[in-house]
Amino acid sequence: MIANLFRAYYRSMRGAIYVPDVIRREFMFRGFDGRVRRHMAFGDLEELRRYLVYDPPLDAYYSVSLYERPEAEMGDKGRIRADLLFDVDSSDLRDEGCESGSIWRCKGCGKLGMGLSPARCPSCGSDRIEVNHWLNERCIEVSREEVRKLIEILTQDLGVDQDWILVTYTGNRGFHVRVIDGPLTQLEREARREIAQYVMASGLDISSFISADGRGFILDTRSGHVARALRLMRGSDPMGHMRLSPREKRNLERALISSVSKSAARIDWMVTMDTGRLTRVPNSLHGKTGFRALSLTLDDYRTMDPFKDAVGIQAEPEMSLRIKLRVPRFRMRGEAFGPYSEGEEVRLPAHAASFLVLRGRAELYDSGSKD
Amino acid sequence: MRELGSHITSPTYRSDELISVAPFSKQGASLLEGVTLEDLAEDPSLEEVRSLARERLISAITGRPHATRSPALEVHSFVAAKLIAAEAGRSVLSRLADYEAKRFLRLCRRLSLEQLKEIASGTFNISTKGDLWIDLASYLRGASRIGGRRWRLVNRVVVRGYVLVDRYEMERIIAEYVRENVLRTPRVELPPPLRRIAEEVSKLMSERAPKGTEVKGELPPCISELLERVRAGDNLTHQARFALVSHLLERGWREDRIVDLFRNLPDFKERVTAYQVSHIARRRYKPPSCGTMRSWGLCTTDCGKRG
Repeated sequence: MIANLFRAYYRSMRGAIYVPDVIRREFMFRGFDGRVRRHMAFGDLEELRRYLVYDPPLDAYYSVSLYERPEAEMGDKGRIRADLLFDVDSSDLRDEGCESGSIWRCKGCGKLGMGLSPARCPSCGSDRIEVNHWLNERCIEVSREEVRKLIEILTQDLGVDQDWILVTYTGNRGFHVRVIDGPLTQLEREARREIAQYVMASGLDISSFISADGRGFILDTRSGHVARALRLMRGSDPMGHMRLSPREKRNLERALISSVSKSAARIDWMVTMDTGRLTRVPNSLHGKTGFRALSLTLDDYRTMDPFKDAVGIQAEPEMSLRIKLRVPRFRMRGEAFGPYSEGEEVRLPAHAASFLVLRGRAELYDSGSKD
Repeated sequence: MRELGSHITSPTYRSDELISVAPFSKQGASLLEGVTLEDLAEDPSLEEVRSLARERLISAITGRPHATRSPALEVHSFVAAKLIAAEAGRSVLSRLADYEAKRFLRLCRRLSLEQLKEIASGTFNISTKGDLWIDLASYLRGASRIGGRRWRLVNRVVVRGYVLVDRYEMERIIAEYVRENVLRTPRVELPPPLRRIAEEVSKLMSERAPKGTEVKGELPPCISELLERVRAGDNLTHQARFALVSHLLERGWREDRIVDLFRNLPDFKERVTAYQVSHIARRRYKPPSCGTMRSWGLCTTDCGKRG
């Protein structure tokens, strides 16, 4: 049933599916039956679009790398270059508001709880905790802020041309930012790790930017991290160099460290480092939401609302659901739904129903349609 | 017959000093014009080249620097030594790479900043600006292989795609490019006179290689990969060495046996290695976890163990 809704999407929106340098990419699909197909390649965009309509996948991924032979086994593909990918995922940001609808369960004793998951189960102490994440506007808001900081660092510090940056909503709880052209796409793993750590200000040592002369200390405010941290602290742009007494140096160092941690971007650095990574096809549907992995302009992402702009599944038909796990109130295309409690039976428009089923919060019991 | 320097059209600038210090440079390559692999191997007038190539390789293995000769001789013997090392095996090539990188670093102080910049841009495509900025991608290509906090990008002034460096740092980065230049030498079919030198240095290398470093039992994949790399004479980072040593100590290896293992490395110093190994043993440092190894970029595959 949901597969048919996905097919209808790919049929009507096929023109929106766009992958740069499609013939050089490896593709991977996860089907509705759970089967995974890897090492697939397409001769052109049309072929890819036809495939998505013919056999709509639950999730569609493509490689960040461009290969000589994308269909070959891993060792024989022949990497040409690779997009520099940054993954901003609200699951890593641990925001109370974003996690307010999430449900966690201890695999040790079965205890259930709502909200931000604890590191250890409060009743049995086990660290084996699984989480059914929820998605709300707050998740997008906190991720958006990280994307803003990331783009600033990429363009101001790392010299990335705005035209080389591709922002997409992941279709779930965050964003992907890709640098698709320029010298950084030629970098190897190690160098990518350095970029990721730069963006996160991880391992930053403020003393690297402070030098001493006979009369005291000088802070080099040309450093992007230092300048942003100062701006955050003082609200104005610093100029060139700053002279400090030993005491000022001590105080400022401490203040800068805490300020830098706010002005740096929080990303998943493992993703950035991995040139063998597969990532969601822009404008394909996400298998945990039914939302579109929307490709966005550098302006769009600031205002994008997934519950309005990324809903990929049509409203028709209505579907009957049984709720498996508590559902908080949510809106879809302006219409409010919920809250629903466990065991409740409801009839919802297809987009809201698929959202709950794909998130693992409800199951279909009789679609009430002949589709 | 293949001409080794046939891709060079017209050298615009030539300085004897620059070429002797940087035989790998574009200016140096211009001296190869018209010289073939067969000439290098057999031309009687190039006997001196073969002899210096051999000397370079032996110096790389024994650690004694050769005395600088004329620009043409330096360039020809540099190229011949690379080709012979590629034939002689990974550990010889790795030794030569380290030798040539360090030789450049030692001698490049004689060059002017302008000459350094010229080598950077002309030979390695490193773009430089003012006093002294180098482009981000080039910086990373060189510096991500150098250990230490000061080299990490996060601790550098980076503005609009350029990284601020001083002259010494620029020299270090170029030296890393030299290392890479040698390591990337393709293996080609060598004429007999050069092949004989390859056999000779390969033998010399294996005589000096550690013995009795076979490992019993299964090692985790990342650790066994590091072990392979040490055996091949790869220049490992400080963290990689630490991971390997702490792991082997935990498996009950004796300290001297571990020190022997490292004899293969291009920058091996017995005293320093022995001190480091015994330091790790004394402090009973635990081997890094899989997660830590990953964060150091040492695990390319699954660690093969939990935690």
